[in-house]
Formats: sequence, structure tokens, C-alpha cells
Amino acid sequence: MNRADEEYTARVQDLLPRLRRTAYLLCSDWYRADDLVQSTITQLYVKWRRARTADNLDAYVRTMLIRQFLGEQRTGWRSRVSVTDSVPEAPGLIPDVESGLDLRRALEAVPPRQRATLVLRFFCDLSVEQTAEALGCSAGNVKSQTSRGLTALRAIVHARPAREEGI
Amino acid sequence: MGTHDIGSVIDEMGREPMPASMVDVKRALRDGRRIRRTRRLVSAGTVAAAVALAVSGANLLGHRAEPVSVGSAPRSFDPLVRYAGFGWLPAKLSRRTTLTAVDQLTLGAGVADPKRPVADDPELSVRIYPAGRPIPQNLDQGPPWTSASGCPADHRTERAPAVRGRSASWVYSRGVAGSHCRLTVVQLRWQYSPGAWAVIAIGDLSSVTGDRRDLLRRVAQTLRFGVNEPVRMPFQVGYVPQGQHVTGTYGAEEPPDSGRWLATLLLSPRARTWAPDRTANTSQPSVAITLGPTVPGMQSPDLAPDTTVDGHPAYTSTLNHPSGVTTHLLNVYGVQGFEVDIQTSVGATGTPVRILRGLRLLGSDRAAWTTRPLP
Repeated sequence: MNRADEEYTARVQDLLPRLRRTAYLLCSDWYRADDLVQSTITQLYVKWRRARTADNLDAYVRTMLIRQFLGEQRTGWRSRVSVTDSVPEAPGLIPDVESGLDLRRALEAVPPRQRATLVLRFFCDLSVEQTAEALGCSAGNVKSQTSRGLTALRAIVHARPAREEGI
Repeated sequence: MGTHDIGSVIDEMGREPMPASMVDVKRALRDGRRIRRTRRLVSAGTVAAAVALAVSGANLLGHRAEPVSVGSAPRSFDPLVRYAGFGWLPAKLSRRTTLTAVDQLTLGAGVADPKRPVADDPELSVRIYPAGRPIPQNLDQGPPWTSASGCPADHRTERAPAVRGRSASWVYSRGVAGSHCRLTVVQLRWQYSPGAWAVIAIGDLSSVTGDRRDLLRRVAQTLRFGVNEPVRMPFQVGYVPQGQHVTGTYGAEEPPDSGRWLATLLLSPRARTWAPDRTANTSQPSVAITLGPTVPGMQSPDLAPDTTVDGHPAYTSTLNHPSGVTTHLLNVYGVQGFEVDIQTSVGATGTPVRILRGLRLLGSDRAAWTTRPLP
């Protein structure tokens, strides 16, 4: 292994825990999350000569991860290779706002781009401008995606008492 | 539920225990290296860094190349024909690489080193473009001058003495490794024929004794144009995915007695001729088939077999690109004494195996190789 490969391996090992968590919040599934990270770090190696000089490698790789995720959603790659026709409906889909587990399920129900926006804003603590850069869109678009994502989350969460009350 | 609540719960989720990782960094290295090699073929202006060449300045300064008539350059290259070849080169650069494509011919010369892959970036490369083809702007952004961190990435172009009577320019950069941030010559560009350009790029030859510019000028002045030698490939392809054409070939070899070589055939759905209005004539190939001698521990030391194909040890992998394209990788060892590497981004998962089964290998004797690799 040459010096560049050693440097790549060391940097990726440092980044992995955070990348996996971010991927998990995007995918809501550890298997898919690890697939997403695997593809991302492979792409990173392909671009390593340029990537290693990035001012903020963490941000660089996170952007790659987000775009990889959105690319898969956009092209329907996931649905084409899915081992089942549809994801079986799981019990307990009604979210509980007090529980992270339920918020995760609510997050899963939010459209991918809005989900990516929420993850970048609230998990990665990025500003509107930084999120816009990662998503390759305008700051205004980030604001509207955030607003729509939050509205979608609230709608899912608020659906619970209504359903519980049999309305 | 307010913004703060969502933020704190997401943050909490981010601190939950993680299951054991299935991410394999070594696999990323292996797959990435293979993909990078194929991509490098179509951006073959890359040159390796750091090599010591004993170039006599006095000898070079005293050299007067005989004028060579180039004639009219073609407006497009045939990827199965090598249009030009090296003339003079420093003796130390005995490794040769050649990329032929419709919109460029790239000749490479590097140091033969059994510890390095035979297809490694050469220390010196010459890109030759057909008539009417401008020098791609991305050459200004790419290696070698982005390789030295901490130096400004700026570069400067300056008029150079004419090469064979035609206009030429130097490109200097501060960013090349070993330059210590001083402006250093990294390219010589010149018109080898009316409206047709060539570029010689040189890596960090930090130990060159003598002027790098003399080295570049001598290589430029002795290049042989109009060679038009058919490219010979060591295999014939029996199964070609629909709509695919030969759009490039790549060959790398060290001195003949070393037994170290490889040959790659590139297929894509692009037109067979270069057209000025297309911006991506040399885009990434859809299919890349590579053949080389199996030298244990040499060709792909890190590609440990993980399966078998037709009884041969093999390595397979799949990579999903953000664009949605899926690349299938297949490496098979010991096929009539050769290693076969197939990468596809068209067709189904089984396409590489289908291509493999349709291959007819022609051995190591170049006399038996073919100039018509497709049916």
C-alpha cells in the first residue's frame, strides 16, 4: 500500500462512524446505510487525488454521500434491485413523538430530498447556505424543503392521536 | 413539535449504538483502483511524479532535429490505428503506454519498475489531437500541478520557440510536486499541423539535470506523425453488448523480455468519429476488457478471489454511481495463463461473464494478435 492509500484508509476510518450515522438517518436501514457508505467511499477513492486537498474533507465526503443517496432515489436504482416488491408494512407505524424510534419512522415517510435537508440541518448542524451547497441548490430551496419536511413530520406525528381516537 | 424538538431527537438518534459495520475499506480501495485505472485511460494526460532522469543539458541544447513533414492531420482518429509514435526518448523511460481514441492519441513513456503496475501513470505523456480539436480546458485543471498541496494552483502560459516551424507555448505551474512552489515547466503545447495540437506533459522530474524545456522540445521535434500502424489486440470478442462500438484501445508494456504487458479494449455507444459539436467524445467507456499475463502478486496484488467463474478464481464487485449507473467488475485469474478484467456499465449483472465466455485469447506471441478484435 502506497502512502496515498495509507492516508486514504486512515482518513476514511476516521470518517466512517459519522458517515454511517448520517447514512442511517437518510436510509432508516443499516444494511442500506452501509451500502450507501461503501459506494461513497469507493467514489471517494476514485477522486482521492483531488479530494485529499479539500479544505474540509468531512464536508466533501458528506456531500458525496448525500448526492449518492439522492441519485439512487432519483434513478430508482433501489427499487429496481430490491429483493421484495414492496416493504411490508410494519406494526407500530404510528409515530410517538416522545420516542426517537417513532420519529425515525416518521422521518422515513418524508420524501428523500426533504429528509436529506432535515438531516443536514438538524443532525449535521449545517447552516442554510452550507446545506444548499451540499445539495447543489439555492438557499431559498433549502428553506422551502426544510419547511415542507417539518410540515410533513408534524402531519405524521399529529395523525397519531386522531387514529388512536378512531376519527 | 417544534424545530428544537426535532433537532434534539435527531441528535439523540445519532448517538444510538451502531451495529457492526459492513463497510469494507479494503474493498473500496480495490474497486476504486480498478475504476480509476479505466477512467485514467480516457484522461491519459496524467503523468507520474518524482523520477530521476539523467538528461544532459549540453547534449539537448546542441540537438538539432531534422525537420519532419507532418502533412495534414486527420479530423478524427481511428481507435484501431496508431497515428503517431515516439522518436527520441531518454533511455530510462523504457515503459510505453498508448491510448488510441477517436479524439486523441496519448503516448506515454515511463520508468520500467517491476514494483509498479505496468499501467501506472507514465512520467511523460504526449497527447495528440485531431485537426480542429481544441485542447480541452480541463487539462488546465488536472494533474500534475494540483498534486502539491500548499502551493498556489495557478499556472502561466508563455510563448515557446517554434516546434518544426509552428507556434508553441510553455505552461508553467507552481503546484507540481517537487517544485517548492516555484513556477516550473509542466507542458509544451504546439501545433503539429495546421489546426491540430499536441501537448507534452511532464511530471515532477525533480532530479533532471539540465533544462526540462530542452527535454520537452527534443521529444516534440522527434515525434513521428502519420505512422498509421494498426493496433494489435491479444483477444477477439465474441459477445458484444448491443449498440457498443470500439472507441478506444490501451496498451502498456515494458521491455519485451520482461513479460509485463496488458491490453485494454474500450467500447461505448459513441460515434466512431469525432465531431466538434460533441463535448464528450471520449466519455467513460461502457465496456472495458483488459488482458494481461497472470503474474502472481504482480498484476492485481490486492484483488483476492472471492468466487470462481468456469472453474477459475475470480473477483466480482458492483458499484453504484450517484448518476444511477451501475458498474459491474469481474476479474478472472488463470484463464489460459492470463488475467482477464472486465468492467461494464451496460447490460445486466451477468454481462461480464457473458463477455468472458465469448473471448478468444490469442496468446502472448504478438504475431498471432489481431487487428480486428470485434466480430
